Amino acid sequence: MTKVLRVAIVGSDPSAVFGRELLLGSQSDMKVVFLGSSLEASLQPLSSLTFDVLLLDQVLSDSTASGFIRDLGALLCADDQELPPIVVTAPFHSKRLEVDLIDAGATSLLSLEQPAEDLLYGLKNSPEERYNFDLPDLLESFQDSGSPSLTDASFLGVVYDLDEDGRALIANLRAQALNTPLPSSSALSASKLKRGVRDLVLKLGLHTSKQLIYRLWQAGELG
Amino acid sequence: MFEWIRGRKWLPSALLAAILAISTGTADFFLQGWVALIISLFLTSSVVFARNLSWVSVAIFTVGSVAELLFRITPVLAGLSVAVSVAIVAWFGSVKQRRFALGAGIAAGLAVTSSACFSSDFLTSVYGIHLYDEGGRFFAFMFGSALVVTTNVTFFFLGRLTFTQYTHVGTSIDRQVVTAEQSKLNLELAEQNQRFSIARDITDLIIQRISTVLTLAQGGNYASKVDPAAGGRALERLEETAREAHLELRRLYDMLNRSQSVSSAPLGIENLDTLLLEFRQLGYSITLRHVGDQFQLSEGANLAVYRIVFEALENIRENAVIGSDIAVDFMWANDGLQVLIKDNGIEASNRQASAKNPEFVSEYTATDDLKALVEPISGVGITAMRDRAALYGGTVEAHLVPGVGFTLSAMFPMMRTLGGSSRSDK
Repeated sequence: MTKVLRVAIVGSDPSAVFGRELLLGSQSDMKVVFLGSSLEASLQPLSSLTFDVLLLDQVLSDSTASGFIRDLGALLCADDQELPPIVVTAPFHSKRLEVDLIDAGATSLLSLEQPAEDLLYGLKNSPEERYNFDLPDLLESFQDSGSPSLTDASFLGVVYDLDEDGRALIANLRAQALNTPLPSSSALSASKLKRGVRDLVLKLGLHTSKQLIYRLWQAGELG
Repeated sequence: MFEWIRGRKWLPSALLAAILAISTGTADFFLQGWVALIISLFLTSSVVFARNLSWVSVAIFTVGSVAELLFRITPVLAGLSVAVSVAIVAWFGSVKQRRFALGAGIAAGLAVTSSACFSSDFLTSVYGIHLYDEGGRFFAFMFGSALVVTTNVTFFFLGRLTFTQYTHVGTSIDRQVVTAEQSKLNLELAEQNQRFSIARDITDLIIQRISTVLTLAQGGNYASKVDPAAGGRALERLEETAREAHLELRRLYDMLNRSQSVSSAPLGIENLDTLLLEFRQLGYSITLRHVGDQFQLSEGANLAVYRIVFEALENIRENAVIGSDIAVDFMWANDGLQVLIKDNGIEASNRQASAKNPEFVSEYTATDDLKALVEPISGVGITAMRDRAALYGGTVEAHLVPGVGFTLSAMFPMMRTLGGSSRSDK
C-alpha cells in the first residue's frame, strides 16, 4: 500500500489555497490535513498536528514565508519536535529569496513559472530533498545573492568545538568548494559525505543540508 | 530692466542721454555759459548713438572735445558723457569699436586736461583753483590725466561686465524662470514618485491575483480529471479571481493614463520664456515681443505655434554664429496672428570675421540679392512647419535677407476662428 503524504497548506489567498487543495486532492497519495491563512491562525495548530510536509505560500497576510518558518521552528524546537520539510511557493523565482529561505530552513522554493507536476514532485520528494545538495550550485546562488550576513556567534562556537569527524567533513566540503584535491586517506566518497552532512545537520539542530552549507559559507569555512 | 533694454533699440540710450543733458548741461550752462551748454549737449548726444551707431558716437565725442579746445572752453561736466558712451560701446560694440572708443575717450580727455592745465586759467575762473607755478600745473595735469584714464577704463569695464551679465549670466527674470522651472520639475518628480509607488502596490496585487488564477487553473485541471464537479467549482473561483485581477489592472491603467495627461501638458507660447533663456545661455541676444491684444489659443494651436517657433530657433542655432541677435515677434490682430522670427546671423558672422581679419570684405553683391529673391528656401523643417501652420489655415514663408540673416514669417489670418480657445481671452 502506498504511503499517503500528509500535507498542510498555508496561504493568505483563500482562492489560491482552494486551488492547491484541489490539486493535491486529485492525488491518491496525498492528503490535505490542514488549511491555514496566516501565521497567527496556523502556528499553534501546526505545532500540535502530525503532517509530513508543509506547503507554504511566500506571501502571508501577517508574515513572510521565512518569518513563518523561523517562528514555527522555534516553537517546535521548544517542544523537542523536528521541523518537517517545507516547500515554499512564490510567483517568481528569485535567488535572493531562495537563499533567505534556505537560511530559514525551507526545503525548496517552487515558483508558479513551473508546471504543477514540479510542485507535486517537489512535495513527494521533499523528505529526501531535505538532505540533498549540489555544492557548486549552492555556492553560486549564495555568491549571487550578495555578501553574507553576520554569522551567529554561537554557531561559530559549535563549529570550533566539532570533533575530528566533523572537522574532516568540513575539510572535504571546503576541498570540493575550492576544487582542491585531498589526500586519499582523508577524502570521503559522495555517499559518505552526504550521510555525514545529514548527521551533522541533526547534531547541530539545523533543518536541511542546504541550511548547514549556507551557515558554513557564512562562517567562511568553505573558503 | 535688461528685458526692457533688450526690447528697445533707441529709447534707453536716448533717455540716458536726456538725463545727462539736463544734469550736466544745466551745470555747464551756469558755470560757463551758452557755448559750454551747446558743447555739453553735443557731447551728450554721443550717448544716443553709442549702442546702434558706435562709430558715430565716437566721432561725436571726439569732435566735441576738439570743439572744447578750439573754443577754449574749459572742461565741461558733460565730459562724463564720453565715459558713458565708452561704456555703452564696450557693451554693444565690436572689438574694434570698443578699443577705438576707449582710446579716443582717453585721448580726448587728456587733450582737454592738458589744455586746461597749461594753456588757460579755467581752474581759477571757473572752479576757483589757483596754480602758481609750472610744478603746480604739472601736478594738476597728472592728477587730471589719472582721473581721465581711470574713469574711462572703469566705465569700459563696467560696459564689459554688463555685457557678460546681459549675455551669459542672465537677468533676474531669467533666474526666476529657471527657479520656476526647477520647482515645477521637482513637483512633477514628487508626483511621479508617488504614482510609481502606487503603481508598484497595484502591480503586487495583480501578481498575487494572477498567481491565484494560475494556482486555481492547475488545481481545477487536475481535480476535474478525478471529479468533474470539482472543475466547475474551480472555474467559478477562477472567474472571480480573474475579475479581481482585471479590476486591479483597470485601476493601474486609469492611474497611468491620468499621470500621463497631468505630466505632459502640451507646450505652448507660455513656454517660450524657457526656450529663450536657453538661447541666452548659449550666447545669443534674443527678444520676445507681443504686439496687439493677445487672445487665448486652443491647446493644439498653441502647440503648433510653439513648434514652429521652436523649429525656427533650432534652425538659427544650427546656422547663426553665437552673438547673433534674434527677435521673436507676435503680431496679434483681430482675427489673425503673425509670428516673425528674425536673426542677423550673416551680419554677426561678417562682423566677427572682419574683427579677426581687417581685410575681410563683408559687402554683399547683386547676386546675393537675386538669389534671395528667386531661390526658395526648402527642407524637411520648413515643410513640417508649413504642415503645422496649414492645420490652422496658416502659411509659413522663409527668406534670406542679404547681408543680414534669415526671416521666417508664419501667418494665421483666421487664427481666432480656427485655433482660438473657447475660454475667455487673456
